[in-house]
Amino acid sequence: MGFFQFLKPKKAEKGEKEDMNLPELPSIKDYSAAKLPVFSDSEQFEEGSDLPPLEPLSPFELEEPKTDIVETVQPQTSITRPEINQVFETDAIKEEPEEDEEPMHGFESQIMKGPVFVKAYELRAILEGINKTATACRESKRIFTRIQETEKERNEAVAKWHAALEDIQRRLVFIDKLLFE
Amino acid sequence: MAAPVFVKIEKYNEVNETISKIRSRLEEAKATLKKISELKAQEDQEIKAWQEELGKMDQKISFISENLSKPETE
Repeated sequence: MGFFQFLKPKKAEKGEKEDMNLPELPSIKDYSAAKLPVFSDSEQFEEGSDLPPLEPLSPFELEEPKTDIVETVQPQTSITRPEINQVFETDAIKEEPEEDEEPMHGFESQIMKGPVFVKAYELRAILEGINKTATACRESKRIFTRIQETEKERNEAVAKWHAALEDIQRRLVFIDKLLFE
Repeated sequence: MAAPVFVKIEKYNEVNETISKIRSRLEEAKATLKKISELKAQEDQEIKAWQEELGKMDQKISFISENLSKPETE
């Protein structure tokens, strides 16, 4: 079988490898004993360089960056304790009333200054009213949930209807083709 | 006759403010509900039209079916 002869190494190459006699490596001691030239710092660049000698450096001083900020002296404020009956104007109170807002029945939405007193039985009626309103609100929420569920069912029905319509349309086209073949 | 008892309300203005906002929200909700009702009425009309179309389709399919089931032979 002479097909794979090229894979075998040639005899001449083999002989070359065998004949390669490398010299022995020198020992490390020979290098440590060798004397190398020593340069001092001053001689390092004087010889063979055209550069002038450098001037000694002046000590480095930090300079503060100049800014346009002018220090302002804040005036001393005297803290006064507010009176108990003082009415604080908050942002909420400063808001302008909306145009479509109707004035409150009876009270005309006036800003009252100082403490407000309400008769005990009136306050009870107010609290009952708040309770009833909260109950109505809860009921409304329940109705909303039911409507949402109904809406979901309706959407499903509409999707079914759409699918049925598409199916009918497909079948009609099929029948049309069959009849006119 | 017993003297009336008064209760001091500290944040009367805030209460007033909140009630005004609630009223405004209620008006908003009323308007939205009105719009929903209108949309629903429109939807009802569409459903009615859909029912009519379905009826027509049913009639026509019945007619086709009848004709196909009784073919006239020469």
